Amino acid sequence: MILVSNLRHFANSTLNRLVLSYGLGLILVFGVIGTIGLLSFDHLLDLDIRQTVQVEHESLMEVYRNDGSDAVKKIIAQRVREPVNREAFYLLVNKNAQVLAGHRNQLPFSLARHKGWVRFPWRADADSDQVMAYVQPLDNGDLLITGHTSGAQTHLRQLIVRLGFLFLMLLGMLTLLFSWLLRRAVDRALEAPLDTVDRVAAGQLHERVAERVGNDSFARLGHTLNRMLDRIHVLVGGIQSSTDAIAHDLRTPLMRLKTRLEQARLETHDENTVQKVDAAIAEADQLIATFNSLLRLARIEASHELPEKNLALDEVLNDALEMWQVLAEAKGQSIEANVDSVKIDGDRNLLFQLISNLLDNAIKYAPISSHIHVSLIKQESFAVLSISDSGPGIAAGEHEHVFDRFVRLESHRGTPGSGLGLSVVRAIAIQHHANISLENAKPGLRVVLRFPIAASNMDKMSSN
Amino acid sequence: MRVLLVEDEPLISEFIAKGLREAGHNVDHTASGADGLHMATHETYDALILDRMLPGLEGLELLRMLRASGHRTPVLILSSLGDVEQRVLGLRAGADDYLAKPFSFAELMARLDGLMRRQATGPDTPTRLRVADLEMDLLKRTVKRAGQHLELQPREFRLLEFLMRHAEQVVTRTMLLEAVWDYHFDPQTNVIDVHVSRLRQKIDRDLGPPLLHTIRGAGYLLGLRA
Repeated sequence: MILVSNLRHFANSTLNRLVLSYGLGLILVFGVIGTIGLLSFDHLLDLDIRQTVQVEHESLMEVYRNDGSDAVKKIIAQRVREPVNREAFYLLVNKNAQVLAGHRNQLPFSLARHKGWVRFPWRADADSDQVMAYVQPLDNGDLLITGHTSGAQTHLRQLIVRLGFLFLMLLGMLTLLFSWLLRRAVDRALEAPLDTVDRVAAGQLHERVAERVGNDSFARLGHTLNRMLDRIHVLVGGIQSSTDAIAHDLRTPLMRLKTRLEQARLETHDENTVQKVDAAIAEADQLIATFNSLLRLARIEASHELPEKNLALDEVLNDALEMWQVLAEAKGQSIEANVDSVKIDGDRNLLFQLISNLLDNAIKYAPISSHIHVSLIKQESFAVLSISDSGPGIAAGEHEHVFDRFVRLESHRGTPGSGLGLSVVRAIAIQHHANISLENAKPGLRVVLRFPIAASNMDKMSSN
Repeated sequence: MRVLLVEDEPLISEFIAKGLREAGHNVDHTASGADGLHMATHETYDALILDRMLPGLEGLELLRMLRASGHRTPVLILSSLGDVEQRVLGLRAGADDYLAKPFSFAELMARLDGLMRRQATGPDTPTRLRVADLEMDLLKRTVKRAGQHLELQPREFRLLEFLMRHAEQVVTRTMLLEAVWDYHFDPQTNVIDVHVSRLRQKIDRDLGPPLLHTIRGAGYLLGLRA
C-alpha cells in the first residue's frame, strides 16, 4: 500500500513522468535493436558455419570421387587422430549404420538416408555445444557426415547477450539518476522565481525575479514574470492614484453641496424650510458615507500589508462587543459571547470594522428579544470567529452573491444600508488571508471566518 | 483670536471665513501655499487652517517647513484624503488635528476650539472635573451629580470624561470614536447615539436641568444651556 501511494506520489510530478517515460522508451528501443542485432548475429553465424562445412565437405567429396571411399576413410581417421581443427566433426558410416571412421562410435541421430543439414549436440550432457553437419549419402551406400561445432561462437553469443542486459540495466539506472538530477535542476531554477512571486502575492509589490542569461525557457520565464509583475505594480498603483483622484474630484463638489446646504440652513428662519434642508443634508451625508465606504473598499482591496504582528483578536472582538451590546439591548436582544484569547497578524481598525459590520447586520436582522451568538475559538492553526443570528437568514443560492458591491437582498430593501457592508467584510477578510463562509444557523445566518493564527503564536503553542 | 486660513476652494474658504468671523475671530485668508507660508512665518496667529491640495506648495510641505523653522502655531489640516494613513501622515508632519472633507462647519469649530484651548491650558492633568453640579473625581473614578453618587460603566466614564474635558464645546461623533473607543472606523449606524443616550439617562434623569445636549448636524455638547 505504501509502495503504491509512493509510486502515485512519484507519478504525480510532471517532470518525473516525463523523465520516466523517456527512460522506458529508451530502454524499449535499445531492447528491440539488441534483439534484432542478436537475430542477425545468429543468422550470420549459421551462414559462416555452413560455409566452412561446405568447403570441408567439397574437399572430402573430391577425394571420394578421385580415390574412392577408402581414401576418405583414411583421411578421416587421420584427422580424428591428429586434428588440424578442433571444432571440425567427421563421420563415415556404411549402409548398415556401422561407423567406418570418425568422432563417434555410433550415429548421433536416427539414421536418415537423406542428404542435407542436421544439428545435434556434441556430447550427451545438457549444455553441450551444438554441431552443425551436412549429411551426404555416397554412391556405394555409405554416409559421409561433415560438421562443425559452434562452440566459440556460442560463447561469444552468450557474452553479447550478457553485455546487452548489463547495458540495459545501466541505462535504467542512468535514467533514474538523470531524472533525479533534472528534477533537482528544474526545482532549483524555479525555486527563486516562485518564492519571489509568493512574496509579491503577499504584498511586496516591488520584488522582482532575478533574470538568468541565455535564451532557454527559464530565462524567458524570469523575464515574462517580471513583465507581469511590473504590469501588476502599475495597475495597483493606478488604482491607488485614481482612488486619490476620485477622492479629490468627488469630495470637492460634495463639500460644496454640503456647504451650500449649511449656508442655506443658517440663513433661513422658516421652520418648514429648515426641515427640508436638514433632510437634504442627511441625504448628502448618506451619499458621502457610501462614497467613503467605496473608497475605503478600494483602498483595502489594493493593500496587502498587515501592520500589526501578534494582534490580540479577542481584545478587538471584546471592544466591538462592548460597543454593539447597547444597540442589541435597545432592541431587547442579548449577545452571548464565548471568546478565547488568540493572536493573529492584522490591522486592528479594519478588524474592528469587519466585526462591527457583522454585528450591525446581526442586530439589524435578528428579531426583537432574540439571542445573537458570538464565538472566537482556536482550531488547529486557525482563529475561528463565528457570529450567528436567528433572523431570516440568506438562501443558499444567494450566499456568493451577497458579498458583491451594492447587492441588497429583495427582503432587505426598505431597511437602511448601503449594500457595501459585506463587501467591506470580504475585502478585509481577504486582506487577512481569512476564509469566510455563510451557513444556515437554523434559523438564521451564521457567518464563519477562519483567520490564520500568528506564526510566533503558533511556536509558543507547540513549545508548551 | 487670529486665524490664518489657507484654502484654494473659494466657496469653502468664504464659508469658513464668514463662520469664523461671526464667531468673533479675526480671519486672514490666502489661496496660495507659498503666500500661506510667508504669512504664517511673518505674522502671529493663534491657529492655522490648512488645506492639503494647494496650488504651488502642498499643504503638508508647507507644514513641514513651518515646523522646521520653529513655529509652534496649532495647525488643523483640511483634506479630501481622509484615510487613516493620510491622517497619520498629516499628524506626523506636525499637524495638531486632521479633518476630512466633507465636514460640517460645527465640527470644524469644535476642533478649532479644542486646538486653541489645548494651546491655552497646556497638557496639565487635573484630578477633578466639574460642569455645573456634575463632578468627576479622576483619581477615585467616581461621578456625582448634585451630591448624588452615579454608577457608570468604565466606557461611560471615559465618554463622560471626554465630554467634561470639552465642556461647552461641540464634540462630533468622529471625535468620540477616536478618543473614547480608540478605533478609526466607519460605524454606519447610530451606535454612538445609543451610548450617549444611555449616559444621558444616567446623568440627566430627574437630577436637574439637562446637561448633555444633541447638536443637530454636528454632535453633542455638555454644559448648561439657557
